[in-house]
Formats: sequence, C-alpha cells, structure tokens
Amino acid sequence: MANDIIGPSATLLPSMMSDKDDSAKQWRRLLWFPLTLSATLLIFPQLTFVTMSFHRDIGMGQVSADFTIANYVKILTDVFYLRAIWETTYLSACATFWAILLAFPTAYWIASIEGRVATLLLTLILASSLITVPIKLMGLNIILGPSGIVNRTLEALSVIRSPVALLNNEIGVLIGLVQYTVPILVLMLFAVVQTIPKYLEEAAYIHGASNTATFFQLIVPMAKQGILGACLLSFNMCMGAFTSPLILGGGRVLTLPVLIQQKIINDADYGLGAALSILLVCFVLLMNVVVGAYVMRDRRRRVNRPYGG
Amino acid sequence: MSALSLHSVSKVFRGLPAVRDFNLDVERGEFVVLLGPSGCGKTTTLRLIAGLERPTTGTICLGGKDVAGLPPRSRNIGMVFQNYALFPNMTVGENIAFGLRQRRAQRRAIEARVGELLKLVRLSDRRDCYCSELSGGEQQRVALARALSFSPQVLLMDEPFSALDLKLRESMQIELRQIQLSLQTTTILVTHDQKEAMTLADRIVVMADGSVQQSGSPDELYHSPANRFVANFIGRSNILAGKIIAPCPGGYRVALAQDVTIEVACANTRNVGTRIELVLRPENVNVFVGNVPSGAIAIPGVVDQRRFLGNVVYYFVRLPWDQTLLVERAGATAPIELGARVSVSWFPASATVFEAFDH
Repeated sequence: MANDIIGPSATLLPSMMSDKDDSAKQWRRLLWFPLTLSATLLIFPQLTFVTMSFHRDIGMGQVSADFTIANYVKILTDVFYLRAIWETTYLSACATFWAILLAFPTAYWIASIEGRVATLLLTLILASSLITVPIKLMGLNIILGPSGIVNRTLEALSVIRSPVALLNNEIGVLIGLVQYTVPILVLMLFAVVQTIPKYLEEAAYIHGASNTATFFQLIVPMAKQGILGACLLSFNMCMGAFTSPLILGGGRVLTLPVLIQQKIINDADYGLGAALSILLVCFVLLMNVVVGAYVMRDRRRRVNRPYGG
Repeated sequence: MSALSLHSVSKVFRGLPAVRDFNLDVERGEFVVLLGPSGCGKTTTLRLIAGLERPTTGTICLGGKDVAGLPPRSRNIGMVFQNYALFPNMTVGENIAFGLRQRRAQRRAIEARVGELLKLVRLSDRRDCYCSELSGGEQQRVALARALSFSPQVLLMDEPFSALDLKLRESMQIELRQIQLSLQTTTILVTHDQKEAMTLADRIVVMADGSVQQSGSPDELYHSPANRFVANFIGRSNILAGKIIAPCPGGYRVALAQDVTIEVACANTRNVGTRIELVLRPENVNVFVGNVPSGAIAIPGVVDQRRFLGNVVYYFVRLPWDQTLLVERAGATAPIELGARVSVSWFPASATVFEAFDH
C-alpha cells in the first residue's frame, strides 16, 4: 500500500523539480534587470561625489584638477568638523534611544489589544508618518515655542517659572528627530512583537512572572533582533535627517547634513561638501556593518550550536 | 479538603456558552482527565482553573481558597501547554529555573532543583541546549520539568501528547504517570484521546457541549456509561434502537426492527411504548455458526467483513434490517468465512439501555 503511493510519485518528482528549477532560474535572470537599474542609479551619482571629494575647491563652484586628500585631512583635523560629526552621532544615538523607549512599549501594547482598535491605531500612526516632515515640524514649532502649550502647561503646573528654550537648540532637534522616527519604529516593532506567540506570555504568567518580568525577561529578549534592527533604522534616519536640525535647530545645531547643505548650496564648496557626504555615508555604513555582524553572529550562535553542546 | 474544586462554573464567550455548570472536586494526588471531542469546553475549563480566563459564574477553589480574584501567577499552578510553550530565548536549564526565579528562590536552591528535575526527566546532558535543538519528546519533558519546578499545588496539562508520534506518546504517557505517582502531584489533563485518558486517569470527566456527561473511573465509564454519548465516546459500541412492548422478569421485552423481539435487563422502571437504545460492546457480542447457548439472545445475520488485528478479530455482521453489528472475538478463534449465515448473540445483562432522545 505504502509502496504504491511512493512508487509513482518518486518517478514523477525529478522531472517536476527540474521544470520548477528552470522557471525559477528564468525568474531570477529577469530580476537582474531592476537590480542593475537601481545599482546604476545609486552608484553613478555617488561616484561623482567620490571623485569630487578628492579635488580642492578653488572658489566659484570650481574644483582643481589635481588629486588630493586635503578635504579629508581638513575635516578630520578641524575641531569644527569633528564637533559636527560628534554632534550628529550623539543626537542620532539619543534620538534612537528615546524613540525605541517610546515605540517598543507602544508597539507591544497595540499588539496586545485586539481587533479594530489596533487596526485603527496602526492606521493613524501610518497616516501620521506619511505627513511631510516640514508640516509636522511646523506643528512642533508652535507647541514648543516660548508661549506654546508645553511651556504654558509646565508653568501652570509650577514645574518651571519662566519658559524653557525648547527650540533653536539641541533639545528641539532631539524632539524633532524622535517625532520623525517613532511612527516608523512603532510599525516596524509591531510586526516584530506580533510574531511572539501569546501562549508564551501565558506560560510566563502561569509560572509566576509578573507583567514587568514577562516584558523584560521574555518579550524584550525575544524581540532583541527586531529592536536592534529598529535601532539601526532609526539611527540611519537621524544621521541623514536634514529638516529637523535645520528648522528646530534654528541654524545653531550644525549636524553633518546641515553642514553639507551649507557647503554645497551656500558656499559652493563642492569638494569639501562631497568629502563630508562620503564620510557620513562611510560612517553610517560602518555602523550598520558592525551591528549587522553582531546580529548575525548572535543568530548563528543560537541556531548552530552543536547538538547536546 | 479537596486540592481543587470547581462549583457551578460557567463561561460564556460573546454569548456562546463554552462551559456550563461545571462541578468538580479533585482530591490531593489524584489524576483527573477531562475527556471530550474538540470544542467541548475542556480546554476552556483548564484555562479557567489556570486563571487565563475568568469564569462567568461559579467559584474555583484551590486548596480550599477561592482564587477568583487571583491572577495566574499567584495561583501556584504548573501548566504544560499543547505546543509546550518553552521560552525560545532561554536554555533548557533557564526554562526549568523560570518559575523558581520568579519566586525569588536562592540561586543555590535553584541550581539544585534544576539538576534534580533534569535527572527526573532524564535530560541532565541537555541543560545548556536551546529548546529548538531538542526533539519533540525532549521538549515535552522540559515543559513538564518547568511546570513541576516549584512543586505546584495542581499540574495542568493541555493535550500534552498530541504532537508526538504514537510510540513516543505511549512511552511518554507511562513516564508521566510514573512521575506523577512518585511526586503525588494533583494533575488535570485535557485530551480528546480516550485511550490516553484510560491509560493515565484515576478519574475521567467526560465532557460534551460544555457540560459534564459523566465522571468516574475508567472502569465505571466503560462498564456503566451514564448516557449514549459516553457509551459511544468511550470504547466502541453498537447501538440498537427498539421499543418496550412488555415487562418481563428482571427487565422488559423489546421489539427491535422487523419484529425481532428480545429481552433486556433493566432495573429502572420504564413505560411500555418507550423508545429505547440498546448499547452493546463488541466484546460482549458473539457469533455462532451453529447452536446458540441457552439464555442468550440470538439474531440471525450474515458476515460482511472480517478484520484481523492479531490479538482480536472483528466481524461486521449484517442484521436482517440492514444494520451492521460489530463483533469482537479473540484472534485465536477459528475464522468464520465471509458471507456465512450466523447468529449474533449476547446475554441480556451485558447490554445497557438508554431512553432514546428524538433527534
């Protein structure tokens, strides 16, 4: 009986497999086209930047013909630029920290409520993340100003005596960056948290865990990979953020993107601006590679431990 | 004082009753199995005991204390989930230590207890593995050790063996019963597998449609089922429809289809004209090619099918009114040919009588 079933299908299988293989191969060949296109669109502009960054600015938007690393030397030895690099990294890291702190519990909470309310909340968050950044920043400008609702409330509650400067400084930029990344992180982390089965939480509760213990000992460790990914995304977004530092920083918070814009648009120092851009890209890329390597190593350790190790 | 008692507990989900008027008292150290088809409310009952669901009405007492307001973590209950629900981010040892860590036990005591439990479930060499590296049976044993780690008042198990293959399931059942007996843990297990229920239980609670059909030892349920559902669910049964036509000593005369009348033993008083159902276990029915022993009922039939299973052989005998009767005989008996004209026969006392419900 069993042989009857296995017999014919065993002879059928190889031919079916090769058919499937062929079509899969063709499909993969087709996918080369969009890959090549997007790679070209990415690489050529960047190549122009790379080339330009190795030439000295000679004013009026012109660059010298000789090959030099002077731009890089200048950036990496000038305190002004080093401070800008530090400020960008520091602000991005802080914003990422606060954004995760806000987004993860929110995502967990939305994942734990059921049905239409969750859908509605997610829709609202998605909608808010689709509003263009300048408009959201205008809103923040109104709220955070000296006579804005935040300062008024704090004054009314006697937390502060006179309005606190929440605009045109680092705090303003930080708030802007957090507001920029939180909705996207909530959506991303929601997808992560949702994959953690409900019965694991129930098992934790039954075996004596409080809500807090379940959250920190089970949910957070299980979502660790996702959280790291979200951190990386948020960090990348913040490092490249231009509008928040410009509008909420009021020109006083000089992050790399703001500086690049100044160099290229205002000063027409294409060489230096290009060098700054390349450094920014390389720095962010390096961060991603390091974190990515850590995540992969962690995963491999988890999956490929020898049996019975 | 019973270890666990449920008093007229019911649970309604969005207007649909899942558990109706459930009463149960479990003695300390007793192994109770909730048995029933899927959707009968047995898992809901288990979740009510665990505190994962709140009863709509009724009280649940653990060790004499009402636990209505207590969250699961304060109930001191161990539970083995259907899919084990082991924590994938923890090693075997950490999984087992989980309940103890939540109870703020001393590190040393935890270490010792985990070692002890690993030995109990024969997994001492797997302590530092992640659960994804374990086989199904091993995961099952880790789940059991985790549930037992803090010596719970009651151990709950929700279809714990359903994911295992037959051989492994049988050996795990024996192992579980041994561990349960050695630790004297009060255990409530949910299953839809009547064989599993009979293997493990001190007492079986048969459920259908959210309510208890019968509660008793495996023997009781098998030999004196309370209703047709239990008779049909526990073991195999033949059900013959009939109508009481007259009383006779120790019972009634019953007319089956096509004017075949037989005697049934029945202690209860029933009116003449009552429609009844006769439940016959296959092993209580015999087939004879020749003479039928005196005192036994005999109905003619034709052998339709024969199924040889080694220790027993099943005959499907077609009765004159086109109903097929399942008959079990010892495997060693001389085979009866298909198509043979036979008499099926049983003693009146071996048939159970239920009043027929209009379906």
